[in-house]
Amino acid sequence: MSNISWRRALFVLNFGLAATAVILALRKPEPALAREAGPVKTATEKSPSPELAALHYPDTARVAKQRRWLIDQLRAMGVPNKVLARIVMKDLDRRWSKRAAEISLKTRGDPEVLTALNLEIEKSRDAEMRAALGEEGFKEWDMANMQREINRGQLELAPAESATTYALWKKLQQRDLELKEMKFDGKIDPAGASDQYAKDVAEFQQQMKTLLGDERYAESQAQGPHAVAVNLRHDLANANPTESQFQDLLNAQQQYNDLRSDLAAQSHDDADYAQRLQDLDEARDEEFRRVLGPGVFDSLQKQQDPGYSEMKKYEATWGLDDTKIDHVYSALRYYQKSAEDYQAAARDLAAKGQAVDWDAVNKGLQQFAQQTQQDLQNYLGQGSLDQLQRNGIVQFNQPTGGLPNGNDGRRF
Amino acid sequence: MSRGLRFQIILSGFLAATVVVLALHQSANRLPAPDSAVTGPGAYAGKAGAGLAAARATTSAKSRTLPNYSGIGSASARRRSIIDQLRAMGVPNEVLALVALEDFESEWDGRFAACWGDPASMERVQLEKDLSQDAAMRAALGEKDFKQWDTKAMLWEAMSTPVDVTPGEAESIYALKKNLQQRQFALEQARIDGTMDRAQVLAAVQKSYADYNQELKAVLGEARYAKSQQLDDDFTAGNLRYELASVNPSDSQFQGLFKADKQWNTALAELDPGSPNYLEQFKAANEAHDQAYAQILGQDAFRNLREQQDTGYIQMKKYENLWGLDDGKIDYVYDTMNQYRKAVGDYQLQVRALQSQGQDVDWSAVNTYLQKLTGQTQQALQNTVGQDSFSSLQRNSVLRWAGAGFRPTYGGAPAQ
Repeated sequence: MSNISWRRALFVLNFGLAATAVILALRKPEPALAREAGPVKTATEKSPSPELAALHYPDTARVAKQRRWLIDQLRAMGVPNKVLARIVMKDLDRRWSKRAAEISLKTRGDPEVLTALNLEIEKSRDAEMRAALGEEGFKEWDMANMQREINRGQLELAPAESATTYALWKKLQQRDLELKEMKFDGKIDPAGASDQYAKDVAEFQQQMKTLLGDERYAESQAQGPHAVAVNLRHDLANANPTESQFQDLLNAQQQYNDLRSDLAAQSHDDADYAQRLQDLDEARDEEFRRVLGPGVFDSLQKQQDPGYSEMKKYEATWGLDDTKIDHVYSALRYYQKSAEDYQAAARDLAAKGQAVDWDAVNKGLQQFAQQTQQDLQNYLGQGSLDQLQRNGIVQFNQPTGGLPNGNDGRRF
Repeated sequence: MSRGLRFQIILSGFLAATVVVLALHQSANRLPAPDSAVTGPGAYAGKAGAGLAAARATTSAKSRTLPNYSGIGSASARRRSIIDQLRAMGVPNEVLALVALEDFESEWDGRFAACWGDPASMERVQLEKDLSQDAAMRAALGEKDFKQWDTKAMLWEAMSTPVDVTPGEAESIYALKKNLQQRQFALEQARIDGTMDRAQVLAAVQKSYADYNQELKAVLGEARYAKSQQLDDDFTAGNLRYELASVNPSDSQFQGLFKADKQWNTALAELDPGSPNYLEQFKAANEAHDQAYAQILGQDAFRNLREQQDTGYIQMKKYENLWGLDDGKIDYVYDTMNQYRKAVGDYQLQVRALQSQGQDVDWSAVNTYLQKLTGQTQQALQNTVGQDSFSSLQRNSVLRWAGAGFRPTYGGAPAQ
């Protein structure tokens, strides 16, 4: 190649390089996916970085897409799935409530229309949550729901057990929805739907027992030895039992739970049922009293009594002191126990086929209540008794012979 | 090689180096790509099923320049960080507030769980949370956006039907609502601390609401206040029109019924529940109202209307086939139950009259009478509709009977 040819070639090359350099120098950097990410908005003064301005909220997209976009951004920022699920749930609730309020206003709270709306909402919930969280996010959230609902004892489940439990639980949920829909359509009545659902729940529990075994199933229901021990230790914290006392109390509590379960499995129509329940309670209390000693046991019972706690809390406001509080507590306990025993004795007679004068029973209870009320009034004074009654600590109901509630009370 | 050619070669080298440097610079300045699987708006539908774990890994790699939620120690700073980032993306304030509020709420989950379901501990934590919410939201959103969001929420709460308000009025209503809120918190605190009991708190809450309503009325004036609280004639007439839809009244009938309703409501408002004649007067007002309706609509339309408004009747019509009923049986049950309710109501009036005269009431005899009346009615229904249908009605609580019995109770439950 001659010098002239070289010069021409280099001139063309240099011209091209110079042009490329100018173009590169003038060109601004842009995000790799700016086209996919939509129009880039100029960063405002609040904008912490130009990257964020490139990811603009899809103002005109459908609500579900906006929600998904929001969740995707939050997930990218590292927000945990459980918080994301709360945000989605709240957003759905907010929109459903708004819609329910509009429909309610339009139909003046027509119960049939609102029931239909509730059904629609219940049916769409999973799909909406799945659309917002994605399949894995949804599953993670829903599995946590399942654990909370049917594994209160926080039993550790193997992956296969977890998957089977989840499938059974979803099936039960689906069944509940079907029954609600059938009830709404008039294909099953409310009592029938309730009975059917109780059967479905019983079947679910049986399947869970088969899957986990009786012992682990009890643990999952917070009724296994570990859960019982944890709960009992919490309940007895104020009594501060020794370790050997605690073991005795735990045995008594477990026996009590087993007997209660056996009793619950029997027919509740049995006239003897209430009495046997009461007997069980008394036997357990007696064993607790023996182990802890009467003083500690009585003190524990008082602390666990909501009425006693309320009286202690407001003792100055209600003109009470420790002696008066103990008096009221003992009087009402005595009244309650005596009334229950009296009624139980009457039921027992009736169950044995003997005639019971129920009017006389009611009259006896009425007199006993009046006498208790009078005693309290004499001891405390009318002012303190009024305070206790106004605040629901002592309630002496009047026989009303009230109107039945068959009419919905709706007037024109 | 000539000097000119040598110059051209050197220039070529220089220009080539410049192009390479500029190209590298461009590449370095190129922004991190948004993760299309996770964040790209175009990816919603197609990538919805992408694995969460993979999405998290991709996301953390590509957005490492952004502050990460879990990497910020303080809950408040964490919240502020995500809100600032979302705001920069143009997310509306209402959505920002939703995110901030739920993040704030989730922060308290552990505190509530630690209460072990103990109501006293839970109400303490609840109050603590309520008291700190405004500060947390203000810190997350900033003063201006917090105020905008909170004002909207307070105005929404204040008005069941929104009415137009000036900015000054909106500010006044906001202040009233915030005062009411603070008062409620203070009362709840007093109840929890034991310085006021439940009955005192209830009375104080009622007074706070009464004061607030008066002040709200002063801000809005009578007409807008009534509209905002759905107490105006337009709203009442709308309700009535919906209730009367099944009888399709003419305009003049509607006006007559509307007037009858107003008179009835006025009569009821004037009654004193503590008066010895209260039940009697209540009954008289209801009967006068029913008579006016029957006169305006005619007996048949009036009966039709009452049936459509009776939940028992509606239930029977809905499950008619399942319960083995027909129109004749439904009408019989409906009429029988109405007679029963009337008989119980009349008897109740007699008992109350005796009480108001200071006479002793033989409650045992009252219960006996009611049991007898109930037994007779049940027997009549059973004979007419048959045992199976009667059982279905009972099981589904369509038939409800007067309660009897007397038993004082003891417990710590609050008086409602």
